[in-house]
Formats: sequence, C-alpha cells, structure tokens
Amino acid sequence: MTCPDKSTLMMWVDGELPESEAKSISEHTRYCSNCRGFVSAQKQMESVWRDAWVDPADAHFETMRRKLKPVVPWWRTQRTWYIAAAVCAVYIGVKIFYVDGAGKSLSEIAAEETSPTVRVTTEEIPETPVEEIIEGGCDGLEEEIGIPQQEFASGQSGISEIQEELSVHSRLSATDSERADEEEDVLLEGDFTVASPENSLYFGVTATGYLQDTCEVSDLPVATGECEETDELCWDLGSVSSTEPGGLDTGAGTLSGGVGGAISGSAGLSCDDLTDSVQRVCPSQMEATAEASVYEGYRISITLESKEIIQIQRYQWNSLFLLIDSLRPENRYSIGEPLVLRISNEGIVSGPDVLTGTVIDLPETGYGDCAVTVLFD
Amino acid sequence: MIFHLVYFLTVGLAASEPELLEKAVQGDKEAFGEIVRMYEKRVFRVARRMCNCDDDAWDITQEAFIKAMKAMHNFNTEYRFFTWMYRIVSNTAINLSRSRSRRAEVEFDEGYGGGGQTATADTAIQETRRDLLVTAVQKAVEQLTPALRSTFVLRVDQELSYEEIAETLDIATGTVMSRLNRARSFVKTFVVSELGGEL
Repeated sequence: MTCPDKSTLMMWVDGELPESEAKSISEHTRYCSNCRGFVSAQKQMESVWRDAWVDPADAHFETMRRKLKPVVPWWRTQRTWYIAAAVCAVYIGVKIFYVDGAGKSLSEIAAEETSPTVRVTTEEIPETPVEEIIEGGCDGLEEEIGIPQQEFASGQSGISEIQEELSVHSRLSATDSERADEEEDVLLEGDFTVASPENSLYFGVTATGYLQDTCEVSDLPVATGECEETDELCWDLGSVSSTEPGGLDTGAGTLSGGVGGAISGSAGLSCDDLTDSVQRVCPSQMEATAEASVYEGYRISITLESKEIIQIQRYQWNSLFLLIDSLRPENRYSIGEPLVLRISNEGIVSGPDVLTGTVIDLPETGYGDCAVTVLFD
Repeated sequence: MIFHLVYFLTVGLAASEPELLEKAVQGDKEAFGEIVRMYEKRVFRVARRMCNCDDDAWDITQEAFIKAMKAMHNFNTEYRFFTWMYRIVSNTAINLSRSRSRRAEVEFDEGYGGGGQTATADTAIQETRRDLLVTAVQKAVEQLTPALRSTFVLRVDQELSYEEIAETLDIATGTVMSRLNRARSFVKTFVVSELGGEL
C-alpha cells in the first residue's frame, strides 16, 4: 500500500474514515515509520496544546454571571411581588379561618359587619430588559427624535421603493452564489467591498483567497484583476468599487482556481461618510452590526444591533435593507434579536415589520457564506 | 447562592438539560442561568482559543450568552444546544476579529492554559519544551483566519466530529475537511519554524 496523503491520515486520527479504510491505514502505519512519525508528531502537538488548558478561577465566572443579570432593584422584581403576594395571601387566609378570642372567626365577623372587604392585589412589574442595562437601550432616543418607539415598528412610508430595489440585490446574491457553486475548485474567503462614490454605504468584494494554482477575477463592477500572491497561502484579490450611489450593482464576480469554496463579504457605514446632519443625530455611541449568511441550501442568518436610532440618506437606507430583506422568514436564523436596528430618514421610520413583510425568494442553489457588517464608529 | 439552592430545591430539582432548555425557551431566566453555569467554561474556552487575549475572551463569552438569552425563544430544543451555542460564540469571535486590526505583536497569555504544575528537576527540560510547543501552537492558531481558526478549535480543542463542526459553523462537511487541512498544515509549518525545525 502506498502512503496515504496527510489529510487522509488525519481523518483516520480523527476517526472520520469508514471502517474498512481505517483498518487498512491502521495496518499501513504499523510498518510505515514515515506515516507513523507524521501521525505521532501531529497528535503530540495537538494534544499538548489541548491538555495545557487550565480553566480560569470560578470567581471570574461569577463576575461574568453577575454582568449577565439585569440590575433590577429588589422591589422591582416579579419575584419580590410574588413573594409579597404569597405572604399576604397566607396571612389573610390565616386571619379568615383562624378563630378569634371571642370565639368568632373573621368570616363570621364579616357576615355581621357591613363592609368587611379585604382585597389583595398584586402588580406585575416587568424586569428591566437586558439590553437596557448593558447597552443603554433606546429609551433616550425617543426623546431625542421625538417619535414614540411604536411608530418605528409600524412606519410604512417608502416601503414600495425598497421593495423594488430588493430584487436587484437578490439577483446579485444569486449571481455570487451560483458562480461560486459552479466553480467547485474555488477556495476563497474574503470580504466583499463595493464602495459608493457618495461615500456612504459600501458593500461588495474585498476577497482574500487561498488559491493553489491560478485564479481570475472578472465581471466585477469596476475592476478586473488578477490574483496577487502575498504569501504562500494567501492571495489578496484587492477591492473594487461601485459607481452607483448605494452600491446596488455590486458583488458579482467570478473567482476561480484552487479547491473548495466559500465567499464572505462585508459592508459598512462610517460616521465620516455621513452627512453633517446625520452626525448631529448620531452621537458617538452609534453602532450597528448586521450579518447575513448564505449557506448551502440558502439558509440565511442575520443579526442587527444598534445602540442608537440613526439617520442616514435615503439610498443608504435602501441599500442596507436590501441586505436585510432578501431573507425568507422561514429560513431566518437569528442569534440575536431579529432586529433592533432602527433607522429614520425624512419620516421613513421602520423596524422589523418592514423586514418581515418583504421577502425575496432566493434560488435553490448556492454555496458559500456572506457576512455583512455595518459599523458606525 | 441561596436563591440557586432554593431554586433547585423547589423548581429545578435534578432538572435535566432538556428540561432546563425547555424552561429557558419559555423565558425562565433562572433556567437559563443554570444553562450558563453548565456551559460557561466550555464557552469561555472556545472564545479564548479563538481570540488573542483574555479580555476579549470574556467579552465574547458574555456577549455570546447575552445573544443566546435574547434568542432563546427561537431555539429549537430538538437540536443540540452546544452546537447552537458554539455557533454564537464562533460568530461573535469572528465578528470581533474582523472589527479589530490585528495586533502586531501577539503574546500568548499563559494565565490560562499555562499548565500551572510544578516541574520537577527530572522533567524540567520536558516541561520547558512542552511550554514552548504550547506557546508556538497558540501563536499559530492566533494567526489563522477566523474561519480556519474556528474549525481548528472546534476539532482539535473541543474534539467535535466533522459533522458537528459542519452543523455548528453551518458549512458543508467537505468545507470542514478542507479548512481543517489548511489550518493543520499552517499550524505545523509555523510551529516547526518557531521551534527551529523540530517538532
């Protein structure tokens, strides 16, 4: 038997080979000192690193757990009120059924008297939301902008325009994924960056790939380039920019070469790019992140978080929601609140309703993943 | 502490993980707190392995649990919690990694993972060599891309199967294998270089 390749050997070490194949490799390593040496060195290296771990002291975890708990005054907790109610109920129960010194129970006395009403009421006070404790919440924003928060969830103006442009993005996503899917030899990981000349929203391609042989970059909105080898493993494909405000015609490119395939991307906003009026609305605490992932079978995940309500230009708004809204709700997987980002612009206020109400189906093919980040520094 | 005792005696006595998860999905914060206790060390370990310093690891751990708590009502109890949780940790760590410029000089904090055992005279040399090896591997891991690092950590440190890693990271099993090969290849090359050509 010729020596198996290293990846097969490691699959054998990991216990991931079928039984018959594992058996033959086991036989092989008995007499092949090369393979035995490789496996031994690899296992030693990994086990030494793994076994060297020492957990931090429990006190550290205690501290972390304390931070996880909402800081709620004891008199505001539900539990306190439940206990208080229970104590009152027990006390009253005892009073009602316990016979008093004159031989009459309170219930008998009550029957004799005219107004013996006893009423116990409890009030359920909701606990303070965690995000309010940790991030400051959005309460202050309500005052700042002067719009009740409910309106952010139900505002509908401007949605039709957003819907129209959603399909554009959907096609772009499909293009990315289909091409990646067709190119089975692609092994890429990188960011998509396509910048708007208006310097507001950018999203597109900045790909850094791991290509073994050759690669080509073509059909990108502006630039067509070749891979530039930066080191033994990494190829930097550079970045390209869109000329369209809002960066709608972005992200479609062909990346080929190497083995395997995955594409990731990012998009962003920065306060430097925003207008003066926006910056006035946005204090330094602005921060929003969004993630969208397209996986095999087109399951998509997204998370948006924002500490503040922000105001951005219309096309930024639309572009941002292209990213968000190309989701099928049944496939949405959220690792955070489905949406806590709220953005306002000239009366266009929106929230989760807009997102869940407009969904573009994605093709049933695709490969790779895509991440989107929107940061306001 | 007293409350936890009372909680266990009254509500959560011998509550199994599935029961706790069911309660947590229903919004029971105490049940979620117990889940945090069950998973906090593993979560921190993954976080620490995936970032470059302890402070970041604590931030990631905390943020991951907050995200999990917020999204708990969406969790499908038919699935494995740890893969769901690992996914959150991985994504959180990757996001942090992407949002920060890489440190030019990375020193492995040996506060955790340093072993902490007293070396005897007989084993001092072995211990020193072992420490060098651990440090070299950690440095190599820290230089991996987030995608490769998460795959490497979940396999080598957490010893998840390829299928579990694929489920956690939501990638194909083939992608797990290719990432793992590249990660291992890089780590080994790096370590050999660090240790002067021997492993």
